[in-house]
Amino acid sequence: MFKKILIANRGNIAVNIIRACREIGIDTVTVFSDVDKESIHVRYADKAYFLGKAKYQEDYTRKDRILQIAQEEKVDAIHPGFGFLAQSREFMSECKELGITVIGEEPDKLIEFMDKVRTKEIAKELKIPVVEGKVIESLEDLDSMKPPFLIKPIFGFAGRGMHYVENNSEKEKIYKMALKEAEFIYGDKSIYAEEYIKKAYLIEVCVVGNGKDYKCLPTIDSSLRRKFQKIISECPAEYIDLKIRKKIMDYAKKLAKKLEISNMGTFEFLVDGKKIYFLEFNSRLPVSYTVLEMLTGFNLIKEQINISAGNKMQVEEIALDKIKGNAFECRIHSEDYFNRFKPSTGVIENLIIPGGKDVRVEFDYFNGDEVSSYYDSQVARILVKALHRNEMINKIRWVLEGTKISGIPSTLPFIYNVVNTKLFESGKIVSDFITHIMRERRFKKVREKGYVA
Amino acid sequence: MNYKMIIDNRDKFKVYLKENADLNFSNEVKVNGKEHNVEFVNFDRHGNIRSVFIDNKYYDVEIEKGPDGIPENIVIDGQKYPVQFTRVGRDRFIVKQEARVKSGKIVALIPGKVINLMVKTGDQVNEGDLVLLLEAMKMENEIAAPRSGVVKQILVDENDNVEKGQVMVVIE
Repeated sequence: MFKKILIANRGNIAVNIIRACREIGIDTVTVFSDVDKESIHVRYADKAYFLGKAKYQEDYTRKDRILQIAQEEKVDAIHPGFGFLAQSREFMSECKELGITVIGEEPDKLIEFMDKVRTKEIAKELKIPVVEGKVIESLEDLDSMKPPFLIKPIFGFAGRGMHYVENNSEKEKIYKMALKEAEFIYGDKSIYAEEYIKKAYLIEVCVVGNGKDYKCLPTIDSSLRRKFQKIISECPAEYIDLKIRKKIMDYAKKLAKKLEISNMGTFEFLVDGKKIYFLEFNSRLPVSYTVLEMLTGFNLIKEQINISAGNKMQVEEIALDKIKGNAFECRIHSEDYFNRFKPSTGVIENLIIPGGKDVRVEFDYFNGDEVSSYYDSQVARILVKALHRNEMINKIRWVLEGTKISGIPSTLPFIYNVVNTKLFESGKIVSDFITHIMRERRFKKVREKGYVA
Repeated sequence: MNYKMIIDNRDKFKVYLKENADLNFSNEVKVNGKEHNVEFVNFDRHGNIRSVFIDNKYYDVEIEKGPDGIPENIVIDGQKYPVQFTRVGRDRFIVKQEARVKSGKIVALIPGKVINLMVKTGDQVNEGDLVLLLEAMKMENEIAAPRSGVVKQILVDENDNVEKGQVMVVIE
């Protein structure tokens, strides 16, 4: 097992990696930028190194400095979490050259897997239906696409740089914008266009593998998104037909086997009625891993470290019809719900979230911490679990009723409204929920001030 | 925000609550200009206030709301008082917003980085047209023209870091 790990991330994910390390008995080294000097992950780690100023991007993507620290500290491995360096091809190759293990997929494989168009081809070879897409090299390539469609960066992740094209007249403008953004965010201009399925469930499946054995974990429904960012997730989403969910897991396992994943991979599917489409594959643990942990009781980060260290897999596959319980997760962001979800910054004055059996709370900040404009706006995640789905719904309602966040405006009232809708109760929230719900009376205030999706 | 409050149909009060404050933790409350220390200590399961400390004195409170959610009666220590609660003046936020629209200045409301400038000096823009993309909080924020007009000045370049309150584009 590893003796010392460097965590090159921030916020709640960094904290959970540190927690997993401490549980196993691994020393932790972390890094921070100027705005994060009192941040929660710095307080948890055994040792922390300063990187530079967030304003000049001298932070968690500074691979030269991070690798230097890794060598000085003689760490056995680096855990990049997700985002930042986790999907940097250069970083992966450099780590490989230096002989430092990166916790997650093998660097060579990871670079291969980042190509979203390629994984689609592989899915097609396996006779798995996919959301049709094509590589776009010039504006003319878009002529064969019938609006509405999406333009996505080929090497994209975390929902950034995605664009929705509603009609032909805006095609050119959005094409140019997408190119620029892809280069700005990912340093690579390659984009592709993909057909847009308006009303569908977005289902994620996580497969754990070591190149030989593959275990498929239960389905997660993350249909509710804003600006392509997931807001709520539910596991195992029992309102979706069991046969469909079984088939999705089947597809995911087939793909994982074919790709020979060697750590953890997340497969995304769209479900429209009885039709299933493979959407994309990301070779990392699902961003909503917490809801999966809540339901199954596994520690997925520990498992990642475990597999990377070459140890035996510990997770077990549970048949979907044998799963007991329902888990729910919501993410609270520092965005002003009453003002077109304007991103907001400030000091968190008071955070109160009730506890109780099977209630899990993951903070990105403590009381008195400042939410800055340099990093993403997630403040906390709240999770609940109950045996029956109706109990789970009651539970998340009372948990949110007793939740207070003051100092910054947040999306808490929005989520509270969502979990109180009939649509949520009946499990009918699909990807167009946000446009749909704005028509309802209690969401009036948002509608009046306008809303940019 | 300022409110006018009439209790028992006769006693009138001017009430001030700090803007944007979460009502449940509003620590800045002024009544007729005098500041009071208010702490809400107890809620029922629907999130309604049950008891409150005002200037370190304890009160049992129950608020009876009308169909539109506006308080109609307040029961304090068992005694019921009918109340009328009206907002005075306009939201400062909206006033500021209107002034901004009128001036035609596009100001960064949050520090960030300009990714994409979509207009050049002399361009005709309509209200709501995309002017630029600003990266902040790991998101691309679409900044639209607050009003129709001609782009008079562009004060930033792509990849520039901007501070909160910095004027980026002027539309005339």
